[in-house]
Amino acid sequence: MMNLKNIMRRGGRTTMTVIAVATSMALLISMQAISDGLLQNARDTIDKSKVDISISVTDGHGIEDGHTMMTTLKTDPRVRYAGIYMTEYIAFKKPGTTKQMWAITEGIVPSETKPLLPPGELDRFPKDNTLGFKESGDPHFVNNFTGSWTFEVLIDKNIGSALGLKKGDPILISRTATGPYMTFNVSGIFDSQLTGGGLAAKLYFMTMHLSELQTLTGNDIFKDANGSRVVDRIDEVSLALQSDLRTVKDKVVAYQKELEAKYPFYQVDTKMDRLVRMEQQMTIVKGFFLAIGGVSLMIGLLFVTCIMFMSILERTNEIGMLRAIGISKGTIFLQILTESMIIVIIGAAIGIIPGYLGSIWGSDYIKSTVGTTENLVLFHIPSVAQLFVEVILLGGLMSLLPAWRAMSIDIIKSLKRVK
Amino acid sequence: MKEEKEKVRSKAKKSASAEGLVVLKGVSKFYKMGDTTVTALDKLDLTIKTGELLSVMGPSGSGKSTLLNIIGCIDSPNDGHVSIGGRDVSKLKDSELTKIRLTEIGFIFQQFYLIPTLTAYENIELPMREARLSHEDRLKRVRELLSLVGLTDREKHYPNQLSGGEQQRVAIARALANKPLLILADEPTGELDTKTAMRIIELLKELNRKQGITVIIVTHDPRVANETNRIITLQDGAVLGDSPPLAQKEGN
Repeated sequence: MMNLKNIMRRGGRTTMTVIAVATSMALLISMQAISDGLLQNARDTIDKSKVDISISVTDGHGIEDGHTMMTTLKTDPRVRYAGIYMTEYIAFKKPGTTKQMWAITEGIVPSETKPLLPPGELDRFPKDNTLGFKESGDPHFVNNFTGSWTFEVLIDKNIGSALGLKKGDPILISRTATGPYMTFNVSGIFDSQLTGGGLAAKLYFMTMHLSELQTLTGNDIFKDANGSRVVDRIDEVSLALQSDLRTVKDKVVAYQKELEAKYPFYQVDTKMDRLVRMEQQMTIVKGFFLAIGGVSLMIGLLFVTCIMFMSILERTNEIGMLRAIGISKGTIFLQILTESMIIVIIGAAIGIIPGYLGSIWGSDYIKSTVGTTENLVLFHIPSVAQLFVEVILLGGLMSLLPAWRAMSIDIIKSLKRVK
Repeated sequence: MKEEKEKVRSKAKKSASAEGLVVLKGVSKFYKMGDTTVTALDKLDLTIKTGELLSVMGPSGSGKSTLLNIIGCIDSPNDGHVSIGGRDVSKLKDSELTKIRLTEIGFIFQQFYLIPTLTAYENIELPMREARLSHEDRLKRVRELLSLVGLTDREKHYPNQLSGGEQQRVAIARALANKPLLILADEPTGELDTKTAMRIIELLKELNRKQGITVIIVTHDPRVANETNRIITLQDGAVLGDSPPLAQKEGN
């Protein structure tokens, strides 16, 4: 009761301190919700993925003989589906215009990629034919890239709205900024994860047959003075394992080891490896977000420490009197600590509400700014509870110094002190 | 009231040495102020018996407050021995001195020093809470004390709702909370008008007379000193005079 009365005695100052703690807490909660949301989103993506093992390279030169590798792996009875793909930056423009734009372009073999797409992803593609492609295979790859061109390309909604293109329209595509341009046909429009407007409205994505992208970008045949050879370069091989295998971790790891031995120059990752790597990356992101919230919290708690020091200074006579009449050091210590903790607890508790609202606002803001349709914020009650306890413990730690100062006050000097 | 007096006396008897309730032998206290040493008390000898009502007078810097602080266990001497209730307190630990202050000594200050956020009742209750008295015991004791100082109808008043005299009465009640052997009053009337001041002194005299509590008053005011039974006059940290007040001498 005495603690509460003492706190109320300095109403305005206490209110300001509570607001400072509440604001810090709210910011910290929002930051945590955003970083948790990003992490959860990435986890969900990997969880939902049908790809159990991926083979890639880390040096950026790509995997050679991609189509052959896919065909070979598909014959393994443990492999259910195998897909290959590569990603390149491609220039494009609308026929009759000069404005050139760039798109992140993925080359796939539609018939092989389709079974590897999780339901949510599949829904983003056109429902007709194979993911919107009339040719489900990769006809241009026939006879070492001498097969016929399909000139099929899927464009994302952003390109569609930027250039006013629709299914069936021609589009000019080139590997370089200077051309030459080839005329492709828009075989369909898909919805990427980043077609929600905002900043993502300026991000463009296309999908085409892998062999055509390889030829466009020079990843089909290597030529030099000595002649030429087919390289069939790709970025990654994705494997979905048979259902009885994919759920047994040891079997997946054993197959991973087998593939590592077979392809020693490539990196073979299981879902778990991808998850661990992604979590390591997200830890850095989370650390960054929490550092922002943490700095704010430290300022809020330093506010409490300063206010308590001011309070002790003002109450020097009172504390001296209390010590003189026999109130123990321990009681004084506890009294100051309790007063300080009450402010921290009230501030932290109040901060939860704006923290929650802030995380919702943050989610909406990110969605509208970035343009993603994914939910990137996770308000997780146990995380908030943990944060609440941590803030209180930290608040307690920051309150020790003023409490110790009050306890150690010199009785004679404090009684002599003129207010 | 008689019962109360007996309790205090028996408590004092149990603990006080045959020499007195407060005994100071060769007590010296000095302070370092830069390169110079200021002597506050100089080999001071003093014995105060249980039930005495005495005042300490002297010019500023004569050592009155230092003497009171040492007797009140909030300061310790550099030399000599101090005994309170038969126990040498010169070498006690801080926690032991705190306990003595809580249970055996009552302090009254010139500026009252009441906690502004607590009512009269709560201010008086404070030392009892520290002494871990039960709620019932505290309630009974606070009501007794409020009645004793004539403030029964003021128990829910905050210090700023009380006059100076009333605040000092609350402070006196707080000093009596844990039934001390000794009351130390540092200029208790310094902030009061003459009429109120004399009422406070009367109250202290009554406590001394009826309850047998030893009262030591530090004062500059000869009228206050004349109301006590013994006047100790200090000068330069030593006892210059130790005698009954003039009025008593003349009466004798």
